[in-house]
Amino acid sequence: MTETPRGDFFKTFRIVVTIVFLASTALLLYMLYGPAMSVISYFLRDPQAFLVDPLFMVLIFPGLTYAGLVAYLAIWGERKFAAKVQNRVGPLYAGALPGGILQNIADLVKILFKEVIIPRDSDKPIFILAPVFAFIVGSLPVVLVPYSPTYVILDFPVGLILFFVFTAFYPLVLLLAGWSSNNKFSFIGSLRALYQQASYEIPLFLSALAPVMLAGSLRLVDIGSAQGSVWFILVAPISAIVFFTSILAELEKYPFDIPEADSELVAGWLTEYSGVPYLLYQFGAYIKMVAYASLFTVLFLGGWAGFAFLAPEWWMVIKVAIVVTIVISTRAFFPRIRMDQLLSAGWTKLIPLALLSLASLVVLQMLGLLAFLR
Amino acid sequence: MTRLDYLLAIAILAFTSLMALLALESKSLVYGAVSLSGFFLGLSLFFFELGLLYLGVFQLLVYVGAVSVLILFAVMVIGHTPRKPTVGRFGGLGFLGGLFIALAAVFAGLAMLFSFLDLAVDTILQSLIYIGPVVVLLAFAVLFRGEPRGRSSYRFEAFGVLGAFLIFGSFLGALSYLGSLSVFSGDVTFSMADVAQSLLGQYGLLMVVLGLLLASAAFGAVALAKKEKEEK
Amino acid sequence: MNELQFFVAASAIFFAIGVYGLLSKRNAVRILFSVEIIINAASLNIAAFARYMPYNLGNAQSIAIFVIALAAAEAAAGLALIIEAFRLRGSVDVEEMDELKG
Repeated sequence: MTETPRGDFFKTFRIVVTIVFLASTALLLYMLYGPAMSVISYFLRDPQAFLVDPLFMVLIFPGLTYAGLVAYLAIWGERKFAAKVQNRVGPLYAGALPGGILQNIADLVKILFKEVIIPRDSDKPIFILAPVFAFIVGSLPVVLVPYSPTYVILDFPVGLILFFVFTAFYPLVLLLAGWSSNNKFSFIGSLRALYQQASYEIPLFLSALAPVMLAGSLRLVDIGSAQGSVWFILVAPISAIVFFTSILAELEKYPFDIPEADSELVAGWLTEYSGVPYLLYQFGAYIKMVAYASLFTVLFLGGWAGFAFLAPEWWMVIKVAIVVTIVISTRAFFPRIRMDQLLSAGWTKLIPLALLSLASLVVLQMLGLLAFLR
Repeated sequence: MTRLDYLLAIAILAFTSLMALLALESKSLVYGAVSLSGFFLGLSLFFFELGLLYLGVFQLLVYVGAVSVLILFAVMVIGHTPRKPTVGRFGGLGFLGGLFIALAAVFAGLAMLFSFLDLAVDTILQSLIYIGPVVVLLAFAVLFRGEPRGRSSYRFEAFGVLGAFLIFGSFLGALSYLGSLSVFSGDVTFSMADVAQSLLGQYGLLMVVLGLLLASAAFGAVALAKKEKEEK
Repeated sequence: MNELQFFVAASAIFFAIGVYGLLSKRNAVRILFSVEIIINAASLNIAAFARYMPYNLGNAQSIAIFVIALAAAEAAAGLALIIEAFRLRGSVDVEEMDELKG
């Protein structure tokens, strides 16, 4: 490179900029040292109090970090499990850790670098905001589920209904996402997803009434605490089965996979999304799965009830892990059912089953056989 | 109420009013429908603020979960209407502006009078709360034209603003009377058992009738929507 | 101003916005939006009085619940009628709906 007459200026300019940058960084660190140390000492002063601090609960357990970690492992587990059942290997080669567990990080990096394509005639504000709202609505229910009587971020007196409010929000977001893509196949795909999710809301609510009846409260902490002697899945097994099936339908898992079906309607309502919006949708769906699995555990599997050698939160984590494993194993075991079979199963088979279970519980209560629960 | 509670209440009021205005004045019907569901959300925040938790979640479930989807469906069926070119876009603005100034003066006078008679209230705050939303209303009405105009006057908007003023003015007397009542400002604990007892006990028959009504409304809507296909 | 005044004023503001929309809009769907806003303002009024003059908090919530459910039924019926009118006439402009026939 030839020395231009302005080369000397650039050299001094670079030196001056470096000095200014280092000096300002040093000044910033010096200024922030006091407040930073006070924040850290506030958290470290009393580790016991730190572990039940609300900020810890929101950020680490059972909030962002824990839910994100379980979702991460669920994505990896789903691919690995399906692969093993199908006599394949699954993710294996990404990164140094064995088993391909870093595959998710590789996918994350790939998606972050992808171009975000916005269709030309689409409704741009709604197109961009729909994945954001899908992520928000999908991941907020994590806040409501208790992992023990102390580890609950939002202890709402009508917590169960607020959980279902987020279930009810989701079809609206789906409809906006499909419509704003300006693509007939996306729109039809979003309509199908909407029919599926709206239809299976009713068996979900009805079958969740059984634990409410047994525990006598809509507060999730109360429902979990009422299962100290017997798990509700043993008292109301039909409701548990209906609830689990409705969860699979709400999460668009197999066998209710029509909306995301790869072999029909391209990718359904997700067709026009690529890159980070797609990541928001998918990761939000997996965090939603963690929230629903935790809710199923609290409602039917006894919540944090377990033998005393482990803390209640650990029992909850173990049970949620088992439920998540069952949910992701459906990918390997079930074929996909048709749309009309799906809707008729929801309306004509699951709703009567849920009502039958509720009626049997009422009969049992009148006969006085449920006195052992109080 | 503490200062933060007061600020939060004003913020929720501002958000909800903004959503209601956007629902009426936004250019496309779909944006209006989405703003309307935002309005329903804001209203449920009001219910949470009042301590009526079950009502809040019920409002969210029914309105944002179901009615919003219904409205959005209908709006998508109706689709984008072609916009006619606006003619005489600012004709009649003087009339509307004059109407606004006259009414706002009357309004301000009334607010001052009420606050003068009610010596225990904050004058400026009352005037702001009485006049503020009307100012915003009229600013939206004048600035954000949501409908195509083929004529040169704003008589519809004038009627609308007049009606809004009359409705709000008729509330003023009730509001100042309410200021002299002693209200129950203690804490209200939410009890689900009360709601359940009243819904299923005192209003049990009404619930059954309501269920029949909703079922018939659903049947009627489906029948209306299907009739076109059978005729063809 | 006490707290009941604040919530009743809020309900009045929404009512006024709804009346403005009802009287000044030509699009039938916007008129339906205004009706929904008015109904919600009324239920907020009921809720405010329930909270600050509580003689039976459960009853007041039940009444507001009935209002919400009835409004949902009315919205469904209204939208079905609007869609039918749109199919017959090709527009939802209420200025053009001036015949009882059809």
